[in-house]
Amino acid sequence: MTGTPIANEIRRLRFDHGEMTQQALADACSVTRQTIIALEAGRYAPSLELAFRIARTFGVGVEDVFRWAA
Amino acid sequence: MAVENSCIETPAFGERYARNDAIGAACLAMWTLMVAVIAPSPFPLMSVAGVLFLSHWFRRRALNDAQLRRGVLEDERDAAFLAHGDRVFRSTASVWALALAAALAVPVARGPLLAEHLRRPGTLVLGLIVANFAGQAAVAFAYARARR
Repeated sequence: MTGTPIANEIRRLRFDHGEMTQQALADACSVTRQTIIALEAGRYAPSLELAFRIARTFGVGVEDVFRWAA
Repeated sequence: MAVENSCIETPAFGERYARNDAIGAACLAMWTLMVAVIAPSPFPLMSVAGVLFLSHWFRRRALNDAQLRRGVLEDERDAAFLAHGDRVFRSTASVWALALAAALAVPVARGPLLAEHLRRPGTLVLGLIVANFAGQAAVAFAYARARR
C-alpha cells in the first residue's frame, strides 16, 4: 500500500477551511488520523466512500480533492 | 502557516496490537512446543486451545476499550492490513497442515508423531499458533512498511 498515482489537495483544503487539524478532519470523516496522514503523504488511495466523505466535509466535489497524477 | 502539517505518525492501535500479539504468539508457541509436542499432556493442550479460541475476543475487547477512550481507532486502511494478515494466517496454516500430512506419510517422521497419542493434536495446535504469529507479524510489518 505504498505509493499511489492519486494526488490530493487535502492539506491545502484543510488550510482553507479555518486551519482544520488532521484530527478534526479524521473525526469528521470517521477515520483515524493515521489515515489522513497517509492520504496527505500520497501513501494511500482512499475508497470511493471515503473520498466522497472528505469532499463533502470540505463542501467541494471529489474531483476538487483528488486527481490522477500518474 | 499554522495549519497542522504533521507527518509524525504514532503507531495505530492495529499495529501496536499486532506487535504485542506476535510476541505473545511466539511465547505461546514455545510453551506449546514443550507441553503439547515434546512432552504432551491433556490439560496444557486444552488451555492452549482455549487461549486460541478466545484470541479473537481479546482483540475485540481491547479495541472496544480503547475506542471508548479515544474514538475511532480503525477504518478501511486498517481493514486492508488485517486482510493481509488473514491471508498470511491462512497460507501458513495450510502449509503447516500439508507438512504434517506429508510427515505422517513418511515412515521416519511418522514414528515420533505417533509415539504419543496427544502429539498429533498438539502439533496441529502448534501450527495454528505459528500461523497466528505469522499473521500478526505480517500485519505489524505492513503497518511499519506503509509508514516509511
